[in-house]
Amino acid sequence: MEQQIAAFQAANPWITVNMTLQPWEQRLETLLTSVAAGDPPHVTMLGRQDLPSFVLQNALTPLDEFMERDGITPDMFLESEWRGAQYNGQTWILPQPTGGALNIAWYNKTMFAEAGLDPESFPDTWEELWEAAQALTIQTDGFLDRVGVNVATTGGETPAFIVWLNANGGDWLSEDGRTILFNSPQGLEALQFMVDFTNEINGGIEEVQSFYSQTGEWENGPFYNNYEAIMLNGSWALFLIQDFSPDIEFGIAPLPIGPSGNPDVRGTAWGGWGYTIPRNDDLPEAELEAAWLLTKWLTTEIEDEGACWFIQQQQRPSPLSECDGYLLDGVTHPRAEEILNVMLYDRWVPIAPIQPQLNEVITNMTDEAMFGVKSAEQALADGAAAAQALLDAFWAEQDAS
Amino acid sequence: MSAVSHSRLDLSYNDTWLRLRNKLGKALIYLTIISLSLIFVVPLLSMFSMSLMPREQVGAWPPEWIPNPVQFENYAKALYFWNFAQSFRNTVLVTGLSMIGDLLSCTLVAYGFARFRFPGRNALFMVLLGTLMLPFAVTMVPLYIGYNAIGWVNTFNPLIVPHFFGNAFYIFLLRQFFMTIPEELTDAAKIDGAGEFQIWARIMIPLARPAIIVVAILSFQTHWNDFLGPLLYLKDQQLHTLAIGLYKFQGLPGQGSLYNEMMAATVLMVLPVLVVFAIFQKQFVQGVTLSGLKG
Amino acid sequence: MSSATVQPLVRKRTLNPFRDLSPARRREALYGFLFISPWLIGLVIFTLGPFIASLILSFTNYSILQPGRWVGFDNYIRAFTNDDLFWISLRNTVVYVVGSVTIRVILGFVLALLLNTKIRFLALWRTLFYIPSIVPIVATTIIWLYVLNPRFGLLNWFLGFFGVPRLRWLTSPDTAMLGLLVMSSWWVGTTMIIFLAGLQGIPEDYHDAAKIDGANAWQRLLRITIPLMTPTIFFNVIIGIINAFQVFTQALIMTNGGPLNATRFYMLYLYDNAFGYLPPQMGYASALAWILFVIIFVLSLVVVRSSDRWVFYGN
Repeated sequence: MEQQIAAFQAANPWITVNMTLQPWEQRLETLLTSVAAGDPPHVTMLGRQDLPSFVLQNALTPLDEFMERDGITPDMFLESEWRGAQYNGQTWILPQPTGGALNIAWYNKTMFAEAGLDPESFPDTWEELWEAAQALTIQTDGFLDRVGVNVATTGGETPAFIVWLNANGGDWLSEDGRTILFNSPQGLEALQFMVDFTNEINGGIEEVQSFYSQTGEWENGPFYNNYEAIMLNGSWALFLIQDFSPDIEFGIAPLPIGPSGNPDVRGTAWGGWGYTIPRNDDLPEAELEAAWLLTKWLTTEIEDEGACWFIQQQQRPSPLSECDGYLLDGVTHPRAEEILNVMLYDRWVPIAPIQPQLNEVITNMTDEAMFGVKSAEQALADGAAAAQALLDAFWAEQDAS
Repeated sequence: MSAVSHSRLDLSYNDTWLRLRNKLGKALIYLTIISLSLIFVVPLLSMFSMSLMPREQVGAWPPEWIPNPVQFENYAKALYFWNFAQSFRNTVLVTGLSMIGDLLSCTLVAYGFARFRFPGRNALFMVLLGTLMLPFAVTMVPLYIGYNAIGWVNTFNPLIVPHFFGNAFYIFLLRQFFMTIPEELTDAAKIDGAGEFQIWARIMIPLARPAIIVVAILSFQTHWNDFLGPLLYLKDQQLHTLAIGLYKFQGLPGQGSLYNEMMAATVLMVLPVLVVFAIFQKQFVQGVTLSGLKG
Repeated sequence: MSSATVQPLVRKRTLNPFRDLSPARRREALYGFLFISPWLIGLVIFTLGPFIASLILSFTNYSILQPGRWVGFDNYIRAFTNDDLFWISLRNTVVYVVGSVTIRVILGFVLALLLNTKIRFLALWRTLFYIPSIVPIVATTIIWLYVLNPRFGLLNWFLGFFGVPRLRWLTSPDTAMLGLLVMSSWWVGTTMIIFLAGLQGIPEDYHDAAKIDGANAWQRLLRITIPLMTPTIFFNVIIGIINAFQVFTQALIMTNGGPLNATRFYMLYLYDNAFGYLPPQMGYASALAWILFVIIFVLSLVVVRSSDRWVFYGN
């Protein structure tokens, strides 16, 4: 990062950049208080999950004018990354780096072969996944010894339901963030699939949770220690596998689609990051210009030690279509192409301003169906109603003020 | 037990039977106590043993007790990879300063309540006791908002500064103690021309040493173990205390890390308290008993 | 120790009580206030101020990100009529309070009784039972995560000796609360010590007299010990209730309210509202805090009032 900044300063000698690290948990308050106080940082990194909140708080500067002027166009970026940069029809951040998608099925080829499956071919649909999992899951006396794949939870912030809904061609929220859409046939199929799969193949949700209580995080994670045949994760898992379990022969595949799914839409682009310019009405022209130049450098600079170089040093995929993120010192990572191919099937999914509360509702709804407290239909309907109520209350408040 | 007289033979038979029953009763009592205490001792022991285990041994069923091989790396990992060395320093800092604040302010205030008559003294003392019953939840949110407004969130200040303004329970303990000190001692000093603060510092404090030690112990334990305060106010990883470090170490619920490293980190936090307790046992128990007697 | 100033029988009501005092007494009073001033100042800043502020906040929808507006009783109405989690969390907390206080009082009393017989190494046993209470609560949760682990935990291993199959504990909504209640016995040490002190305060003469009258151990327990211990029981119950209502840390760390809200306690819900949700619902959280305060206060009053009936002071 520092090298990037040094290069930027070299290319623009009239600008000096100070970089500070912020604690993650206070990012909202810190930024908003500084905007209100009139002295926010010129440029800041922002998670796409936070974008709606910040836009609604009027805390960011729209970037469209700058982009038009300097010829930055949407098609420079991968579409799934780009969509997340927009809200209410305006552009607020420029994406960098990637990594906000849950889109890849990392699978253990050796386990596939042992189970009698073709290690070079990964299930394309949920039906095929079902069959494969039956061969891959090992149980003894009702206790799981090895899981084929866990469809009930994702172990991250993204609720599993949204991932499967997306893979089934469904939407969960309208683009304007006001209407819940997941109480649909695709939603029901997705939830039912999750419940049935967990119950019939993985022995029920309680057994799954009990099973995972004996694994851990990082190098103690299930996939790296042969507790799982298939891990659903994002592109960053490449390096985790290399670090923690270099001996595993692993395959890379896109997520299987459901009965109502679309073969071109598989991964869920949920989060990710970007750079943004907080709103500061008193900022002199020159400083605003400098802020824009820095943002541009950090996100779009192909030549020199800018955005592209930064990503390549980390050997990660880049949001810029032109930049081959995996190219380091003239050598492309051997698995790069597979990953990039999978990323073509990512689809951006909207974020709501009250996302934590909605996540809770969705997780609760999934649990109710999983634990058998309600039928999938009932849970889905109730969950959608609860989520919609929360949204309505929020927007009523928002529109009134 | 009837009062009917027995022949000597019967009497001795009853006697033996009685003694046997007593012995059995005693044995039963010991047995119960030992088995109940195991409920508490065994988990603590396994904490120690698990902290030295390699990963493979952790999930053994039935549980294994001896680490094999003994793996000290767990501690190294906790200290350096998970930053516990720094958390330890932070905890020592916060605990130490808070203890100083507690002792300083509570001795002052307790002395005021014990030795001086002023209007409203009883009412204020009732208020003091009343604040002991106030749930923290009621003041938690405004305190946070206030601290945030003056930029104290993400610093140590909210954890340390309030303790320089007294703590109701310690004030109560110290006041009770001060009141047992005879007036003659202070009268003599006053005649010699000593000022009030000198009396407080030179006479009352040394005399109150036993109670002060109890308060110091209780204060140490409270601040070392504090979780909610650091949770609310310490956001930066560099500021974390051991309590928060442990919490973050553990990860998402239901997806915990592996126990061997976690136990090593836990031992790092528990050991100092155990050591202090071992040295000052009597005072610990005294403190608890006093809190009961006040009821 | 009440202040005994000499006052005329008919007291003039003065706004300034200082005026009635002699200069020496006035000086004493000033010094008194000086010495207690740290506490007084702290009282205003850290207790009274926030206390009142939270009441005011509870009538707004303040979120730290934007100034809120006045909403009157809406928060309170919403809690009682339009919020499932409010009732769920309240119910869970009440269950926990009843369960944990019962466990701790009964177990603590039994232990104290056992330790009060003339056994050797009393100090050792007392220490052993008390040590768990001084362990930091975060550490305790980690230890108990292991104890309650459904696959290889200590509790399941122990129950296995009695033929009980491995239970799911915190991973199942049916047993999660039970797991936390079992865990609450960890802190029986403090309760036990207070009971022990109380037991040792009962004069031997009472027991001796009863023995002479022919009472056996069981009758002595019921007729003498328990009645004389009622003040201590009363104290432990009240303290237990006040503390148990604020249960939070275990739920946050071990289950985060799950599974399926089985361990979503009131304090956890409050905390989520203030610090977890976007935008933060600080006004609502303040209302929840005040509701809790009133509940605890009323409950304490009830126990205190009822104590007239069953608490036995004096002889």
